Amino acid sequence: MSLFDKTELRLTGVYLLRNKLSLAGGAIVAAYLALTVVVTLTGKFLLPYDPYVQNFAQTLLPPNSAHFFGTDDLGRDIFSRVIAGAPIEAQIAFVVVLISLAFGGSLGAFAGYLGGMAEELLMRITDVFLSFPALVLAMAVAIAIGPGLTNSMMALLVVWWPWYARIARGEALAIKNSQYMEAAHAAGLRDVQIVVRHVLPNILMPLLVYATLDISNVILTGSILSFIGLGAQPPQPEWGRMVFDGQDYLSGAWWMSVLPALAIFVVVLAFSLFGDGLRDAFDPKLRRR
Amino acid sequence: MSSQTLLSVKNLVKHYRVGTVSFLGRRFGHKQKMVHSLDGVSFNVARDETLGVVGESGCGKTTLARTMLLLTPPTSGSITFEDKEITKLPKQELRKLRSRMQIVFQDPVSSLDPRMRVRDIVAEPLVGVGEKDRAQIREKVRAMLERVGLSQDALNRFPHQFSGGQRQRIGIARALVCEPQFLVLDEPTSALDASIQAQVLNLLRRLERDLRLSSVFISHNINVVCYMSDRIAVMYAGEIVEMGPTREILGKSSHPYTTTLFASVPKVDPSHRRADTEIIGEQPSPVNPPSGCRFHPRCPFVMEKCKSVRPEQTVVNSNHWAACHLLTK
Amino acid sequence: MSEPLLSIENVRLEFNTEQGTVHALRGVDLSVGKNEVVGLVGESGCGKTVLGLAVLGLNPMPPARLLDGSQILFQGRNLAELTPHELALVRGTGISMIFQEPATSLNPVFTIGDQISESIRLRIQRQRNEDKSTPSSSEIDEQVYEALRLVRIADPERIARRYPHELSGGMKQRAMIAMAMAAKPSLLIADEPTTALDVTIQAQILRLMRDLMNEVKTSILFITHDLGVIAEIADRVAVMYAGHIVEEAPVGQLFAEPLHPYTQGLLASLPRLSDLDREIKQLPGSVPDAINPPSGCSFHPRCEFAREECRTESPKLKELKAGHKVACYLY
Repeated sequence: MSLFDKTELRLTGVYLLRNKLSLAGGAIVAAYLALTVVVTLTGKFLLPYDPYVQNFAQTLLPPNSAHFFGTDDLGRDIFSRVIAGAPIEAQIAFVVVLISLAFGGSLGAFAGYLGGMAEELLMRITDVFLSFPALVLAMAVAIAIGPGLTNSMMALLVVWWPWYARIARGEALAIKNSQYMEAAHAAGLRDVQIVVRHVLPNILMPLLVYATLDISNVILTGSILSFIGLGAQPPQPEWGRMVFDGQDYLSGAWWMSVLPALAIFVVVLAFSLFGDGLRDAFDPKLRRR
Repeated sequence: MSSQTLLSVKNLVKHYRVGTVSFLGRRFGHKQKMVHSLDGVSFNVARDETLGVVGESGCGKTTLARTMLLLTPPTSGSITFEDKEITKLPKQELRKLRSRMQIVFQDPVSSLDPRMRVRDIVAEPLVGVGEKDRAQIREKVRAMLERVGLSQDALNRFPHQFSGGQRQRIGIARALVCEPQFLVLDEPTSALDASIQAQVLNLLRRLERDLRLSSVFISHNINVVCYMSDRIAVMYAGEIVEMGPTREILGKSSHPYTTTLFASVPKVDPSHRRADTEIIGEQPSPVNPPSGCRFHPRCPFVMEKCKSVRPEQTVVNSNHWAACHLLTK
Repeated sequence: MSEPLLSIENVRLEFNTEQGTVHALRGVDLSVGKNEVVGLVGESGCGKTVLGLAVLGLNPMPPARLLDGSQILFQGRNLAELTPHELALVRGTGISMIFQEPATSLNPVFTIGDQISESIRLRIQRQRNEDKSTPSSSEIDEQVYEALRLVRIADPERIARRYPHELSGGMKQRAMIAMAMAAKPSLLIADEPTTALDVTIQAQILRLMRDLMNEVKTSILFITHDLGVIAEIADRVAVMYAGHIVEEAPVGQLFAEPLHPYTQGLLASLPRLSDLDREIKQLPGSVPDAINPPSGCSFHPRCEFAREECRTESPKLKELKAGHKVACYLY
C-alpha cells in the first residue's frame, strides 16, 4: 500500500517551484531546520560564545562586530543564545504537531467513518476544546501544571489535538460513501481494517498540508507561553523567554527583546509561506494555470 | 442448468428516513417521512443463471443491489443464501459469507481506492476472508488479472493510470478473486463508452460461463440487460411489476409499464421510428408513492380497482408473472 | 442544396494542459442546413462536445485555442473572428445551446420564469436597439408563457413561478429547451440533452424536439454518444473519432450501409433487442490519447483493415455517393 505516487509528487513539485514567495519561505525553513540539526549535534561547539556564560563586564552592549546581536543584562551574547535556542522552537513545534496529527487524526478518522455515538462523542468533546481560543486554554493548562518547557509542550498538546480530529473527521466523512469504501465492506473487511487501509491513507495528505501550516501557529503560541513566563525557564535560551527577559530594557537595550522577536517572526513567516504554497500546490483546482 | 436456488429474497423492504422529525415535531403531528426504496420485493436466483433487473431512476434497483448483499440492513424481509437465512446473522458470520457473494460497482473512478496499487485492490477480498498466505494471495491475484485480460505489469500501478474499461476489469477481478458463487453487477458498464462496453460485456459473459456464476445484472440500459440475462425483473417504484424469461417478456410483455418501457427504447434502426406509444408523466415520488398500483396515475388501462388495491403476482406462464389487475379480470 | 445555415470549415482547436497539448479538433468540416437535424455522434473524447461549444465560442479561451484557418460561418459571418461582444449577441438569438445536466444550467436561486425572461428581454432589446426602451413586464411574461407552452408544459403560469429544484428531471430539461427557444434561434445545439434522463422521459423529449423543429423551423445539431437516439431523431449523421469526422451520411444510409470500419464496429458492438442471439462484436483497444494521437489515420491501431498508408497519413473526407462521405483508404 502506498501513499505517494510519482506523477502526483512531480506535479506538486512543479507547482511549488512556481510560487516564488513560498519558495523563499521554504528556503528559510530548510535553513532553519539545518541549523537546528547542526546545533543539536554540535552543542556549544560552533557557537561564537557560550550562551550560558555570564560576563558582567560586557552587559548591555549594542550589536557590534564582536557581538552581532549585542549582549543582554547578564553579559551573555544574544546571537549565540538565539542560535542555541533555535532547536527549542523546532522541538516544540514538531512534537506537538506530530503527536496531535497522529492522535487527533486517528481519532477523527475512526469517528468520522464509524459515525453514530462515536462520532457524536468526539464532536462534543472537541467542541469543548474548540470553544476556547487555543492560547487561553494553553495558558490555563500551563498554569495548572506549572511552568517549564516540557509542561508547556504538554499544555499545547492537550489544546492542539482537537483541531486535527475535526479535520480528519471531515475528510473521513467526505470519502465515507465512496464506492471503494463500499467495496471494502463488501470484501468482508472489519471496520478497523477499513479505516486503517482506506481512510487513513486518503486523509493523510490534507492533514499533512494543514500540519505544515500549523507549525507556525505552534511556534508562535509556544513562544507566547514562554513570553508570559509559563514555558521555558531561565537560563534556557528560548526565544519567547528572551523577549520576556528584555522587556524592562526596551527603551535602552532594545536588542535584547527585538532581535529574538525578529527571529520568531522570520521563522513563523517562513513556515507560513511555505505551508501556504504547499496547500496551493496540492489543491487540484488551483493548479489550472 | 440445475434448478437449485442459490439466493432467495422474500418481501424485502427498505425504507430510508428523510430528515428526522424532532421530539417537538412529533407532538405537533409531523410524521416522519420515509423513502420507500423497496416495498416488498421477492425473487429467486438459481445457480448458473443471470437475472437482469431493469428500471428507471427511483425504482429501487441500486438499493436492491446493496440490500440483497446486506451491505445495508433491510427494514424487513428475508434473504436466503445457499439455503441459509442470512438477514439475522451476526457480523462475524456475515463477513465470512462475503467471499461467496460479491459485487461489481458502477463507477470505475470511485470504486477503486486511488491510493492503493492494483495488486492490493484485487487482493482485498482475500484479506477480508482471512487469507494470510502471501504467496497464495499473489498467485490468485495474478491468475485473476490474466483472466480479465490485464497484463501482469498492472500489478504495481495505480488506478489513475488506467482507462475506464481497464478499471472496470480491475473491479471485476477484485469481485472474482475469492471465487464467489454469486455476483451482483450494479450498472457495470453504464459509465463506459459503447466500444469498451462491448469488451466488458463479452468478458462478463465468458466469466459467467467459465466460472458457473449466478448473477444479478442491474442496469437502466434495457438493451444491455436483455442481452446479458436469462430472466429479467422489471422494477417500478420499489416493486417488481413483471418477471420472467427475457425472450418471453420481449415477445409479449404483460404489464403496461413493461410494454411502454420497452417501447420507449430507441431502436438502432431509423426505418423503425417509434410510433406514439409514449408514456405520460414522470416517476412517482418515493416518499409518497401512489396508492394501490403504483403505476395507476400513468397507466393507459387504469381501472377503478387499480387506485386502491395493490395488484398480486399473477402467473402468466411457468416462471413468468406480472402484478397487474388486468390479468385477473 | 440551398445555402447551409451553419458551415464549419477546417476547424482546428487545441487545449493547453499540464500534461501537454490536447488536439481536440483536427480539421472538422460540417454543415447544418435549414430545417434539418444533424446528428453528431461519437464516444467520449472524440471532440463532439468541444465542437458544439466551439461554434458559440464557449470553450474557455485560454487554455483552448482556435487555430488559424478555422471558419465557422453563420448568417454570412465567421463566428471564429467575432469579438466576444458580437458573439454574445449571436448566442441565444441566432444560435442557442442546451446541455446534458439541466440542474447545472439552471440557476437555483431564480425561478424558471425569471430565467426565461432574461433571454427574452435581451432579444427584444436587441431588436429595438435604436429605441433602447425596456419592454414591459407583461409583454415579457406573455412570451415566457408562450415559450413554456411551446415545450408542452400545461400550466405555464404555475411552472414559471417554480424554482429548478422543485421540478423533475424531465421538466427541467423542458424548461431549458424553453429558455433556449424563447429567443427563436435558427439553430439549436443540443449536447447530450437526453443522456441523463430516464428512457421514458427521453422518448418524450425527443418527440418534443422533433415537433419543435417542425413548428418553429429551427435546425438542430444534436450531439450524443447514443446511436439509438440518433436513429430516432437525426436526418443526417456525422460520426466523429479523435477530433475528425470519419463518416457522414443521411441517417438511413449510415445504419443500412456503414462504410467506415469505426462506424461498422460501433454498430456491431451494440446489443439489440431485435436480435439478442447475435453476439456483440467488440472493437479492440481503446479511445486514442488526445495528446499523442496515433500517426496517420487515428483509427488504424484498432482497425482490422489497416494498411501501410493508414499509418502514415490521415485520410480526407471524400464523398462516395450522394451525401455519403467517408474518410478511409478502403475507398
